[in-house]
Amino acid sequence: MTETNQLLETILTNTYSTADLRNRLTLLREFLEDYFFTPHEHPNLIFLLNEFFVKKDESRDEFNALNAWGYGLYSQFTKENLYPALDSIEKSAADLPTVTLFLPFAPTPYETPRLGKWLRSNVDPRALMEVKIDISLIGGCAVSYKGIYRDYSLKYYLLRSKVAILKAIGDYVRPGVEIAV
Amino acid sequence: MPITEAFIILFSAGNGLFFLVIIALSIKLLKTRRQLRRHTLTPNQELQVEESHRRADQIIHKAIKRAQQLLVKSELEGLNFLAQQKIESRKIEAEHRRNISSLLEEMSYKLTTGTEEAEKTYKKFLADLEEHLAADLSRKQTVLDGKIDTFFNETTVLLNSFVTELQKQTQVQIDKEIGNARNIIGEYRRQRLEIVDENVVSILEKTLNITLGKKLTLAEQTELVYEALEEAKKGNLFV
Repeated sequence: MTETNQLLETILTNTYSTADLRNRLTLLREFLEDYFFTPHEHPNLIFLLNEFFVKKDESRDEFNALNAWGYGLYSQFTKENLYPALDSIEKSAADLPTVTLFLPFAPTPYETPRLGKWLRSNVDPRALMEVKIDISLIGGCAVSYKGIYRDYSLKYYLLRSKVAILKAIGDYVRPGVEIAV
Repeated sequence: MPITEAFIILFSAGNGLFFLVIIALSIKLLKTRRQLRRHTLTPNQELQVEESHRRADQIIHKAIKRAQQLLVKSELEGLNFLAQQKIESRKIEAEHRRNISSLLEEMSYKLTTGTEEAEKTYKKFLADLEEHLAADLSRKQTVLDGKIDTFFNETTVLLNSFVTELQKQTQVQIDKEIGNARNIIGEYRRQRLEIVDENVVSILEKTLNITLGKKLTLAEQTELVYEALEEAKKGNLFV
């Protein structure tokens, strides 16, 4: 299981969202199956990985992510331990702490690692984020963690300033002044 | 039937009866003579019979004569009586006529006099009545005028009082309605403010969403997300 953890730790170095994790584990599984069970002439693994992504017409970002894991990760797999290792990784990944972020916009591929790193630094070193789009939110985001949901969008700040806002509105209403009939 | 006429009839009937008796005796005597002539009488007897017949005839004759005299006398007396009766009757009738005429004249006079008297009395009564009615009417008119004046005075006082009271009640009602309107407006304002208080965040949020939703840049949005995460961290959400 230690090897599995090491593999997962390697994967998590550049994987911050649950969607990326699922997608990359699927790509890893498919590539390794192709690698181990399909005859190929070129001996270089990275070359084959690139060839695999080209053949699947996958994004270069994902290729770069899997390429970044390096030979060290791929050398841990054999024909024999391929499936048990992948299953173990997926099982361990399911237990990772997950922070659900409700955003009013879709983050760019370059923004996702930044958000992920913030969560790793401030929530949990192995934390994953699950991004959900909520266009009703204005400014900021809502966060759900361990079954607790909190809205930190503009609404949160308005609620926090509700007393001051009501006072400002009340100044216009001028309570105490008789209404002429 | 008058007594005089009854008396005359009775008297005539008595005379008639007397004649009938005389006639009956004469017939009887004739029958007796015939019966005697059938028997054979001696001369003496015949003389006696003749004598008796002669005497009987004389008696009958005298009786008839007497009867005729009585009859005539009675008739005369009756006629006389009747004449007297007629005369008396005419006298009485004339007397009655005079009395009746006098009575009629007297009655006519009395009736005329009475009528005139009654007319005078009636006229006087009418005059008195008219005068009385005029006086009564005048008196009642005066009383009525007084009552009308009193009525109008009281009515004026009552109306003034009523109008004043009505003005007061109206003013009170108006004040009450104004108070109610103010309460309703105050309540409405309070409810509206409650709604604003309760929904102020939502209102502002929608307002900002309309005004800022599409104007925030992606960098600004991202920066606000990090601020939100920092706030969540401060709020111990990640503990």
